[in-house]
Amino acid sequence: MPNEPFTPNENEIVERVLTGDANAFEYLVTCYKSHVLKIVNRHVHQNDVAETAQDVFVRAYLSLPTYKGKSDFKGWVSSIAVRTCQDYWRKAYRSREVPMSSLNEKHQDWLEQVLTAESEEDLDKKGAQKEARELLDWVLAKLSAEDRMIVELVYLEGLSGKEAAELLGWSIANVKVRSLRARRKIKKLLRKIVEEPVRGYGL
Amino acid sequence: MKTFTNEDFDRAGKALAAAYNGKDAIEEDKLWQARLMKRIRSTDLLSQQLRFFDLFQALVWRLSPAAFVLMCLLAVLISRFDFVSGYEVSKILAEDPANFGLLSIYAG
Repeated sequence: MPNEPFTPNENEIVERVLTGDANAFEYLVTCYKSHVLKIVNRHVHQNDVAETAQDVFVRAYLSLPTYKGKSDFKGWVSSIAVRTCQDYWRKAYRSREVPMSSLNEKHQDWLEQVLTAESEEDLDKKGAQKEARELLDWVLAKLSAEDRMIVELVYLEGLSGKEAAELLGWSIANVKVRSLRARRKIKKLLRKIVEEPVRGYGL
Repeated sequence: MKTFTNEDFDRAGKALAAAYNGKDAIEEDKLWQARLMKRIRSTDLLSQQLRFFDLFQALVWRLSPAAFVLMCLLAVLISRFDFVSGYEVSKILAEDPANFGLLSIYAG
């Protein structure tokens, strides 16, 4: 019989960590670091990704006593990652560390070109431009930490209300209400850019 | 003036979603995991768990006699005294013409 590599069960690893074997946690880090880094990279500034991803694992480590083996570890750690990112933005907004870039004619032109784009392919190409990311950062900076997370999860990543609710630990109704409100706010911001001449938004 | 329709909003949303999803992947730092495990090892999970339960037990059971005495005292106070706020007393005095006259005599 060929020797198969030993792959320990996640619940067994958790048990080992809970009985005092902190080194056993490294197995879980190795398994899920790419997944966590991917989530964190989507939600926080590039410079803070590594530190925030570490915070996710430390938080997961401290929350291990509450982990119930019924749900899969990947989903559990994803939820911790999303909530840690939300806390990152809460802290950033509280300490006013959110960079508020200002918009200029370039962004207005970009938006006008998007509105006249003929195909989905054109929209993707427009999305790859620098102005797109700057405009997105500007719009997201105008939202609260909670609204920001909901917009990113539901509208930008395309998750369902139920999935977003599970990740954030909110009710589905709360997710629906918040996402609708945030959508309305974004629409108002974009309308302002299109309908009014740029006068240095965000200044 | 241009108008911004729902269709325009959907188009802008699609382009912004493309910008969001097109974010560069992060390069993995080789020392990242080593630094993380150093943090993990310096965080004593067991002692943290024990500390929380110890504190909880010590505080809850130590405060329970004091809470019981306080509850008895409050029950006695509520049963023996009629709680009428100062605002209500002054309102009654001000609305009652007889008492108002008496008050004005004292005041004047």
